[in-house]
Amino acid sequence: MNHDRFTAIRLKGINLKNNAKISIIQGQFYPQYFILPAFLLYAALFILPSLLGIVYSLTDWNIYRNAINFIGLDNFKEILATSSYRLIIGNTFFFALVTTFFKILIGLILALVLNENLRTRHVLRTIFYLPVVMSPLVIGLVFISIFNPTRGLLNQALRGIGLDSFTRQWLADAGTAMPVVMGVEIWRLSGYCMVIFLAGLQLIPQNLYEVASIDGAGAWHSFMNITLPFLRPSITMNLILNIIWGLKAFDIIFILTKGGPGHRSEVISVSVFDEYSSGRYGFATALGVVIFVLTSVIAFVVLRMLNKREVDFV
Amino acid sequence: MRKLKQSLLVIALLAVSAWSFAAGKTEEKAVAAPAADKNITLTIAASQNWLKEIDREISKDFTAETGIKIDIQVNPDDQYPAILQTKMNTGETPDIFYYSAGLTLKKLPLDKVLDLSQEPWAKRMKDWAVKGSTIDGRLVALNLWSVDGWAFVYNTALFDKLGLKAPTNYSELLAVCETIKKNGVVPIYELVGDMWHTPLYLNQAAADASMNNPGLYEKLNTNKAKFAEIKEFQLCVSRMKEMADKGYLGETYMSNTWTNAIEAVGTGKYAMFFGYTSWQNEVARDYPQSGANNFKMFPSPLGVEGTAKSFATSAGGTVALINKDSKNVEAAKKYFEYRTRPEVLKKYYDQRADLNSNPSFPEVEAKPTVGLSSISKQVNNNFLADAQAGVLFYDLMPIGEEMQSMFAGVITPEQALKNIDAYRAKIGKSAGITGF
Amino acid sequence: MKPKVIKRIILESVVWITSLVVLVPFFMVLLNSLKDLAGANKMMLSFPEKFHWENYIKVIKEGNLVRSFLNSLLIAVFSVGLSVLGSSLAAYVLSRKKSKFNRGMYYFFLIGLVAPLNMVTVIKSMQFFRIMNTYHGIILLYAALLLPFSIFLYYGFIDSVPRSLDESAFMDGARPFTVYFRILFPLLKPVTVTVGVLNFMNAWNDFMTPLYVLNRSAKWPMTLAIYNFYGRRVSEWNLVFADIVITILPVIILYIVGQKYLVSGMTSGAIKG
Repeated sequence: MNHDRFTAIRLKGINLKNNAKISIIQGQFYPQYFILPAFLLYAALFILPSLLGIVYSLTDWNIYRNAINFIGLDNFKEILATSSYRLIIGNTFFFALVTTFFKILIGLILALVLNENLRTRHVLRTIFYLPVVMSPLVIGLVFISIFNPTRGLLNQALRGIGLDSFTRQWLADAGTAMPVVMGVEIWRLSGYCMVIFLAGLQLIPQNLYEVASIDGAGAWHSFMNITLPFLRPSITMNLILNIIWGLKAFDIIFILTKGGPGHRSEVISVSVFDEYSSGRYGFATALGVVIFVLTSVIAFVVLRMLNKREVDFV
Repeated sequence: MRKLKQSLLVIALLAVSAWSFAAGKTEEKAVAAPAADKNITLTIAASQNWLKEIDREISKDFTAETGIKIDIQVNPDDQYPAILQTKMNTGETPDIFYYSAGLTLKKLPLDKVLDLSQEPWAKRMKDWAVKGSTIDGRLVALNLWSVDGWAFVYNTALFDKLGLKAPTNYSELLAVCETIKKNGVVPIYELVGDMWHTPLYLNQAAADASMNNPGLYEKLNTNKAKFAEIKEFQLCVSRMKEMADKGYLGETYMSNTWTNAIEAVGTGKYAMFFGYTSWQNEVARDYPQSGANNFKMFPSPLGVEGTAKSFATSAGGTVALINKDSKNVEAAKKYFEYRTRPEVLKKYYDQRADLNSNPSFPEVEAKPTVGLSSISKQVNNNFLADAQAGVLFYDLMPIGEEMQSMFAGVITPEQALKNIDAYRAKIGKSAGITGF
Repeated sequence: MKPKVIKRIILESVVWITSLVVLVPFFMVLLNSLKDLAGANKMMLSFPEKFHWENYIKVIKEGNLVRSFLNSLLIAVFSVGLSVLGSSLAAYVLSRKKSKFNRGMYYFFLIGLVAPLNMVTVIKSMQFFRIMNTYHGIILLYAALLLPFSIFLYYGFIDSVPRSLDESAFMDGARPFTVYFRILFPLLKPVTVTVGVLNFMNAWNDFMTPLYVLNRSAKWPMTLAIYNFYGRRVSEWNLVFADIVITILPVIILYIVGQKYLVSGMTSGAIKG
């Protein structure tokens, strides 16, 4: 029976243009209803709440009153007008950019090194990827104990080698709070970048390197002209994903410093939670919309920038 | 073989889905038929530090007697308010939940809370406890805590050794701190990072201010007065910063924690702590050699020019409320009745050394500490409501954040007060309170 | 020895020393989990005087860890299963039939990578569908949240699988679902393992969502058990650390087992995407 149906299409195709034929065939072979389960689930439990949230961001919904009033863009105006929120938005960008940069740098170096023919490279790869699979809650707790000023491992180690003056109240000091938080995030996700890069490195044909060395090219030259171009898709992926995660980061920062002291280590998602806790739901949602818009714009821009310069190596 | 495995997997998936659907449905049914069915589970929600072993023990006793099960759910301190508010606002309120007493109760949708004015134990509860749990004429909570206030607890043995007397004003306090510091002990244990502690000094300053300025709390609640303009508050915060700068709070005050306070004072590393009147009991329990039972207290002079003439007391600490729309209201009421039985109360307060200097029910013998007696003497029993009890939107966490910024040197004390005003104005406006 | 070999050994040693940055925190947790209260609160990197294995027993009993372990397992396994099925099906069609509509649909799913989550509206939606406070509710929620990233990975990978395989199957008269399940899905093994492992981690490690959508502590996953050991009296760090070790053990085991596929899955999956 199926066989007949296919024959029927082929016969029909004689009178149709190729494009139409292909789309009919594709329509039959790749039925749209396959998308349905994912779409329904996603729409019901993700898109629906998000849309509702966006509607609420235009109101003054809070826990102190039952009435909800539509206030238009007032919430957003307040966000832009308050200097502390401008600082926090700046922090968020800073956090995302710095952590992404270092994650990619460290991830790349690790990938290059662990791509060499070292005997224990598989074990090492596992070790460096371990922080990625840990729960941020666990990591936060571990590092809170490590950064404890009197008894934490870090200060103990510094005292042990005589660098007493270098000890700090790492999580409580206005100057060190943000760097420390960024450091933990970099520690946590460099392994992820490493794995992506390792994967990308596997795709590079080895003979290119051999040819290059025969031609007398040095290591740096090979890296710049062979490795890097082939890694462009990996770099793109790492860039996009890490910037998005960096802009949305919450768990680690909340656990380590709650955004303190004095908003120094605060990013937008922490503010969202704070406003949410003090009961201003409409306003908190507006902050969430701000994150969403910023992240989408940046992701889009970065993607376009990188796609323009990408060369296909198919 | 592969087909068999696949079908088994699908069957297993369907089976477990069916099981969890069914489990959910039977639970709904059980909850929907309360009185007849003794298969009731009461959910009790609280912040992680509010419930101790004895609460769990008493709950187990309750279950043994009535067959009603208790599911105690503790949430992390920093998330509990957010989680509770969310649940109340979406209709997922637990049967019983704890919250802070006083005007903060107004943050909850009180129309969803059961009115407890007619409960048998309501008349027995002490006056201050009733006052702190009554909003707009309705008694909305059960107080199983104590009314207490915060003041400087000091190591009397150390003071005697150094020939020091309790300071009666700020300059004497500075002098005492200087002597202590010179002798290798850190004068005051402070925890800026646990942001709920530093606003407590302001609590006392507020009581002082309300004495000098009758009707102040009303004015603050209608935005006719501002924190930044109140002399007592200005003094208090600038002096807090001053003491930190002089090194009287030690080196790690930014990241000290509540849980290490007992050890800090009990081991003699620190001399004083801004604690509540029964705090010394806990130190004595863990460090008997410290002589903590004999620690005395003096009121904070930070908000006044001379001697503090009042002791700021709370609206009752932490209280328990019942969800009006719960399917197990009768069971919840039973639980409250059980916990307010005199013998159960005695058992409870026995184990809660942090609460027994002024229990909320008269049947339990109050065990006022040396600290409480010394303070009562000094202020002539003039106990006044602190800011948390009388001022709207005196939210500890946001205020503590401003304190933290101040201590970190990011903002000045004046700016901190202005920020607190801005916060209160923001919330007041959202709440539609006249004046904001 | 040849200079190349010497270079390798030096490189390897340097990397091992660098790996201490990762290993030391874990060792600290492990060592301190076996100390007594006083010892653990010092948080030093020293060996315990006595090995207090009973910490683990205490943690398992007091934290109801057996029950919460099963909860975590149930929730994670089913969320992963649903998300793998749903996302691979969708990505299959989206990547094979790149119509304008489908391209839009793909970006529609990608929005999920970027958009933040609002707990209140999520709860309201779950109430509307009557799935609050249920196992299947949180499973469906997690599955929905995991869809965007999963579709992203599957989409790129499927691009690299030649259409000729599908087409010859169709020629033989196979139905669409059979082609998908019998021919294509087995080839997606690396990506499936990658998606499976990553999604499992996400579902297993999440600790905030259950606080909002599960109202019986009997249903809570392992990540929340940690809070039982805080603030009873003093922070009992030795128990906290023991709980951490138990919580991360399944994750590490799963990772080591699935590691072989992880790299190859991420390769083709996303690189070409």
